[in-house]
Amino acid sequence: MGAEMGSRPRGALALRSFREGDQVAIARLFNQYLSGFAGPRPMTPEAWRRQFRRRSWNGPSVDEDRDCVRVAERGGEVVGYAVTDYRPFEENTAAIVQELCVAGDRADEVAAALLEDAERRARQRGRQVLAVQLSPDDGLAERVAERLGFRSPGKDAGVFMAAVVDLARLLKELEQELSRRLAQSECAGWTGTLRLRSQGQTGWLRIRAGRVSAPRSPKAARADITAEVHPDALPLLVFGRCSVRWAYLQDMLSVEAADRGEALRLLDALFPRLPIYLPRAQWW
Amino acid sequence: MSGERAKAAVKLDRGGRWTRVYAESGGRDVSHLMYARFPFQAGRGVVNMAGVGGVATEPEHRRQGLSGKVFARAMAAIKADGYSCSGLYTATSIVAHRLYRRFGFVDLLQHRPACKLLDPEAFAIGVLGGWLKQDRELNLRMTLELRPHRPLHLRVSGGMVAVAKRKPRRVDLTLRMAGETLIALAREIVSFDEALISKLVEWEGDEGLFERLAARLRRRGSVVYGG
Repeated sequence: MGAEMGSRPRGALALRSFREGDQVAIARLFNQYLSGFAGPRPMTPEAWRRQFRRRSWNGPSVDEDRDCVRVAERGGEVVGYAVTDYRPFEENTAAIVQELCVAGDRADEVAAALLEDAERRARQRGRQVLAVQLSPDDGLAERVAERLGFRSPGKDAGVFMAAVVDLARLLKELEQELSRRLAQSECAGWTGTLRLRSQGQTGWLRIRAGRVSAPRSPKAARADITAEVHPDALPLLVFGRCSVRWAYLQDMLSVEAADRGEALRLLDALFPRLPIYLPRAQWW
Repeated sequence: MSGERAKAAVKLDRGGRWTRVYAESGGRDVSHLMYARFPFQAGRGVVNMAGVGGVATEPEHRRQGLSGKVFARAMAAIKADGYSCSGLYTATSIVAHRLYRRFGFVDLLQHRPACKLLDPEAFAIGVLGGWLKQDRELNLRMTLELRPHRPLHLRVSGGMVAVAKRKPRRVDLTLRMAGETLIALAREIVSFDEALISKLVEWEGDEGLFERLAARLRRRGSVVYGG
């Protein structure tokens, strides 16, 4: 929640239900928010619209109920939206705000307006409980929800799990992104070969002239740096859910290199901690 | 059981977007899962993730290792299909979480619902009524203090729960908790014992009645809370 926007629309905030065509602005907001995060792929307006066509187990349908998507406008521009499922359980006692995405420099105000609106509508429909799905890195949503009296029941409920099935292939897919990260770091001038190993899987990174390539089997199987990653830490590290330092201090990462400090800085640059955003309704 | 186990054959069905992996026994699909392409973004890079879902086993075929067999076949197929990684949604409280850990899955993100009670009275009656409907012999006057809401004075009798209009002169039991704790108990995000130990729930009054109430709460099944 809280995408950056170039322009700053002025005027009063107005809320309304979903209208055909809103998917263009909604997908734009969603994608702006996503950039820099680990999470689902950028959404096209068509894909977003398709997703909410029919009601599924993990999401409502805008065709059945236009109110399940509420749009916030300021100065004629869409600055936020909320997706609320008003009947997530059979007993129809609860409603859940599954997705809340806002933009602009008054994002708190938009988020609060959308949440208050969801609460009003949930009350009108006789719901006894309103829940908001919060992602751990969504500080704005958490802050706004808390201010409005929402409280976490204490324990985590849903969990997204990931496994690396082919490390070499994964590194190949991330070549461009790794080059970009390297270019922005203090290790941009580093040259050499890095070998990543984790429980029977090996991946190679060749770094030359600021570019990262991930050959399946390098010509010379000699590595300047070898990083051995505990299997429990591998998905966390490659998807940015833990820092290299954390894995190292937890004994989940060991490094063989002539200069271990330099090796850790390079790994830090290639695998930084990333915020993650994965609204449950976006899964599938 | 071991005979059943030997009979189940694990098969793979590539139909449309989803690939279905299932164990067949007696001509029936008794344990299955599905996977499909779910591109996952890491910064500005996108990786080819296989999204796994629909993991289920028929109740009478559980505890025979079938889901493990299905999962092993699926993971081999996912790798052979050219995926670099796999992801799935689940809950830490369910047995399957241990199965996923065995196959190298790690918790990447935990969703935390933040809740608000909109109608504490109706919710409390519904929840307590559900818990106590089997106990027709239980008669008590209780006060339920749900922070930050007003205390509710309840009468429990014949398996029914009703709100008393006035505060009764004698209260058998007082339960104190935050509104979100009642939601967590109702959705079984926390167990009653856990809530007591961590002082999320406090009580005073008749110990015998409290134990009877607690026994009802401990006997409940498992429900996953989520969107």
